[in-house]
Amino acid sequence: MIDYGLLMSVIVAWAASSLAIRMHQPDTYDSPVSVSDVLLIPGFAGLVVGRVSTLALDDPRAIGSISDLIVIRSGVEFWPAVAAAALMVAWSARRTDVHPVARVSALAPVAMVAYGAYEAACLFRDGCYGPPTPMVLTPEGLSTPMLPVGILVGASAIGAAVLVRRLDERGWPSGAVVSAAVASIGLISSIGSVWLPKVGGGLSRQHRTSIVITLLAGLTTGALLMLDARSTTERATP
Amino acid sequence: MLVGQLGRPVIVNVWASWCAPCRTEMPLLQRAAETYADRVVILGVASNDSPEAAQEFLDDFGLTYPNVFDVSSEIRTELAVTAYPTTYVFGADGRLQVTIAGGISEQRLAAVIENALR
Repeated sequence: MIDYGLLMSVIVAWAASSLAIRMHQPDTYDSPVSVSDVLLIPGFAGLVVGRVSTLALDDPRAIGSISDLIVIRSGVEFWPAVAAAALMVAWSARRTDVHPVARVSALAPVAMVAYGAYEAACLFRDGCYGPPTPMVLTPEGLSTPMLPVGILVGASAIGAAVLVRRLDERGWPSGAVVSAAVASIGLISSIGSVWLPKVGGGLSRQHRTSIVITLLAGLTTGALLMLDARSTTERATP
Repeated sequence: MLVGQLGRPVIVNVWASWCAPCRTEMPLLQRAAETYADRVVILGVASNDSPEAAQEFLDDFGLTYPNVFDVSSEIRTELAVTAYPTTYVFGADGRLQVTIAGGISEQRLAAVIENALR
């Protein structure tokens, strides 16, 4: 059965990222590119790796089953998917003069807009729920208005994409731009997960992973900026 | 079976062993059954399936909440099941609150249960 809510969310993500790449073409390609040129294959690779990761963690017996594999609504592990997509983007720079990390950093804001738009399209699927609130959203079949956490997460991710783009323009090292992008999405996801309804106590797997990724990416950003500042000082010293 | 549960919300999950989304949501339903043990009843209904395959499926997951087999397809007809899985949420007053056709996410399951408990 096709999940039209999921399909609509993907279409929204595609449209938003297409608009973003049209407004700000990445400077790591020889000619103007579209989202399908640069993110279609990495996105597909991310989807496959993320889905297989979920099956490996939740139901390893189902890994060989195509029917289980294609039910992506049942879960796509977010961070393995992001890692696979980033590796594919880096791999695409192998026959060019562009450094692989520079290519990833140039596309990071576009990918963040895609993620933000996907989250903000939560109205089409089951992703908007938050704590009960006297305002905003009453999901179908429920009697209590709820805070649309998905929309807030989406708006924050798009805001973070703008910020990451500015950091790139200000001359931050590519590695620091990439790790800042990862840290900001991890932070947004970690904070958003606090309000998402869940079954049972404790943190969800994605919540725990996001916290760890945020810390690691934050530390990496700081370390790369320090190294960059040090090398700049050394070059400036006669 | 449902009549005996009046006073507590009841979640009825209709599944079949050949349905992939059914497989993936079983651990979630088991967790919900454990978490809301005294406050919510979770009931599985194996439907449009062979009893042997359904039993094997249950054994695979080690489910502890009650599951019944819809031998005569009476439950499927009564609930007008059109997709697998389908989850029905009945309030404590026995009224059907929401029907979710297709796989259910953790967020939605938690939200409908909390809503039914209010």
